[in-house]
Parts: sequence; structure tokens; C-alpha cells
Amino acid sequence: MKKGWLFPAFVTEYIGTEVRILDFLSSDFRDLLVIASEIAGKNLTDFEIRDCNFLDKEFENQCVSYVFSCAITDLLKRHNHSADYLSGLSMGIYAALYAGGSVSFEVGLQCVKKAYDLSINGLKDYSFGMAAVIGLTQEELEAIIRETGDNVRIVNTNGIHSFVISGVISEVETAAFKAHSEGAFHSGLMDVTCPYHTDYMHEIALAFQTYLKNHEINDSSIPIVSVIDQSMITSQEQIVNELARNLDTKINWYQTMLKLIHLGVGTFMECGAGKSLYKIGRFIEGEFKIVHINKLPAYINRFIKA
Amino acid sequence: MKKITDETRAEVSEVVYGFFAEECEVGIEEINDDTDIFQDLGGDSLMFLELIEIFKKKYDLNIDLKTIGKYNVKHPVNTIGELIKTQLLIIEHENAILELD
Repeated sequence: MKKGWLFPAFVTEYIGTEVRILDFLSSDFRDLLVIASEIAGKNLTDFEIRDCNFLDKEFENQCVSYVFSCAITDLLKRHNHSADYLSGLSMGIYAALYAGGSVSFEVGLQCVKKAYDLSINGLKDYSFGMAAVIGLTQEELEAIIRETGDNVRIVNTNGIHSFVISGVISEVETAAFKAHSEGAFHSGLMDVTCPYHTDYMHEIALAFQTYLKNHEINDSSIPIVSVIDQSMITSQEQIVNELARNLDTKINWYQTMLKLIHLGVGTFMECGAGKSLYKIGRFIEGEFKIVHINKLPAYINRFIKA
Repeated sequence: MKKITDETRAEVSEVVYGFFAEECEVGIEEINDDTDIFQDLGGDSLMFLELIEIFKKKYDLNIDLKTIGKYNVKHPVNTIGELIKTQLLIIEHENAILELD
């Protein structure tokens, strides 16, 4: 049975045990926070879960999420664990590239920073945002969006009843409110100020692509399944293209998971803080299991014994 | 309309308690009807959906999520006891649950 490593986007909710588990297993997390602080130009070293640090700070959250994912990847590799396939949800792509050896830790984080800087500086005309909507079908949500206006789109499908919308904040808020009153179990704004995965990001994506061509990005030693079109990505050229498109093109995590399951993946490791992908996975059909960070120590030990 | 028996109540309660104990990684003895799903267990709305799907299959219910969601907007659930009560109403009334208002 094949193994897949999954990389979540930024953290929305901590389990609470992440740092304790990683600190118990190695010093990787703390060591990477030091390096990340230098690259990000932010002090990330005193990160503590109990304070829910950075959940409301977009860039810091992206950096810490990347550090968590890379620290878990290092741990798995050190214990001779490997993956047949990789995939990263939204900005989880950067940690997936690190796992595949396509970028160093430093280059990956520089890409995170550049994408964020370009986005913040390039979006001045409107205020933007994103929201999660859970409990409606795609048709039901599309009808609400049509009524709302032209400036909000469905940008990710996590499952048949789970979506992310993105666009101009006033319309995102309106659509989220309508969705809730129409029967969505949850519809809430995310702590994001950029309209990721929409055409509003097109110029930014082009600028990012130019930036990427001048940085050290190599082929991935492990195939990465694209969250955009579920194609298999390994070459440097494909990776650069995927990173740029990741900013301005809608994604589909549900289809990505189905593709991985179809490829024979039976065990997934969620390489990140929280267990968002584990939760999403409960609504994806197929015979598989997703191991989240709480199960990481047991997973590593079992693997060593095997 | 399905008849709710003592056996149904016990089954639903057992499933709900077992579900949250497993998903939230807490001992079943740590959960009671007053346990707050969000504050005490770190639960979320996806868990509601999953439970609805479980009971939909278990009792062959004719329900659509949007209808249950609309009921949920008017009658929000926070505790395990409230969730069990709502699940029993869903089993009993299915899509007609909105007519209870």
C-alpha cells in the first residue's frame, strides 16, 4: 500500500499538543524557527501554542505553518520513512516542495515571503478575504454567489459539502451570511486578506513566476499531485508553473485526494499543525487513513519496529 | 415519522458519545450531556455533518443537509445533550423538522 504525505495550508486551529510532540521528538522545530525568523524578518522563536500565536497574523501564520510541516518532514525522513506521492493544499505546496527536495528550507520560505509581499503590495484597490462554507452543495452555493455579485468565487472544493470562497471582502461576507441563513452548518471568514486562487491575483502570479525563475528550484524526487488539475508534477518547469498558478487559479482538494487514493495511497501523513486535512478526509470516500500529528510518535515508533 | 423508542435514544446517545470520544481523543467518561462540544472538546461543524451522515445511513433517513442546516440556524447546538436531542428530532421528523417551528 502506497503512502502519501499531505501538507495543509496555514493553521486555522491547533490541537494543542503540536509543539510538545515535536519538542519531545527532536529540536528540529525550534531550530527551524530560528532560521525562519531571520528569513521572515519576524521573531518567531518564542512561539507558544497556548497563546495561539499568529493565528490572526497572516504572514507569521504562513511562516509557522511552513516550519511545522518541514519539521515533521525532517522527522519522518530521519526515521527512514518515505512517501510515494506528495500534495500540498494551497500554500502547503511550499512544504511539499521541501519534502520532495525541490527547494531548501530557506528557498521555500523565501518563496512564501515573496508571494505574500507581492500579494499585499499588489492588491490596493479593494479589501479582500476568504471564507469557508460547509453544509451546502456546490449548486446551492453557486446560486448564492450568483445572487451576491461578480466579485466572489468558489476557489476550493474540499468535499461535496465543503468549499472555500474568495474575493472582495464585502461580497465574501454577504455570500457567507446568505449561506448560513440558507442552511450552511458553518460559514465563516478566514484570517486572510488576499483573494488567493482568484483572477484578482493574476498580475501577482506573473510577477511571482518571474521571481521563481531566478531562484534555485530543482526537480522533485517525489511526484507531487497538483491541487489545480491533479496532474503529476516533478520537473522544475512544472513546479514553477504550479507555484505561480497556485496564486490565481482555483484548486480542488477533494479531487486531489480522490486521485491519490486512485493511485493506491492507503496511508496519508498530515505533515502540519492541527488536523484540518484529517477532518476534511472524513468526507472523502475510499479505503484510506490519515495520520495527524497527535499520532506521529506512535506512527514513527511503529514504523521503526516494522 | 419514525417512532423514537428508549432503544433509539440509547443507540443515539451511545453513537454520539463514542464519536466524540474517538474524534476528540478524550475518555468517554469525561463526556456528559452538559459537555460543550466547542469549548470543552474542540469540536467543529464538520463533526455535526458526519454524525448526520452516520444517522442518515443507520436509520435510512430522508433528509437533506440544507434543511437540517436551516433548523440548526434557529436551534443552535452547543452541548452533547442538545446534539442528541436534535439528532432524535431529525430521526423522528426527517425533512419535516422545519415544520416543528
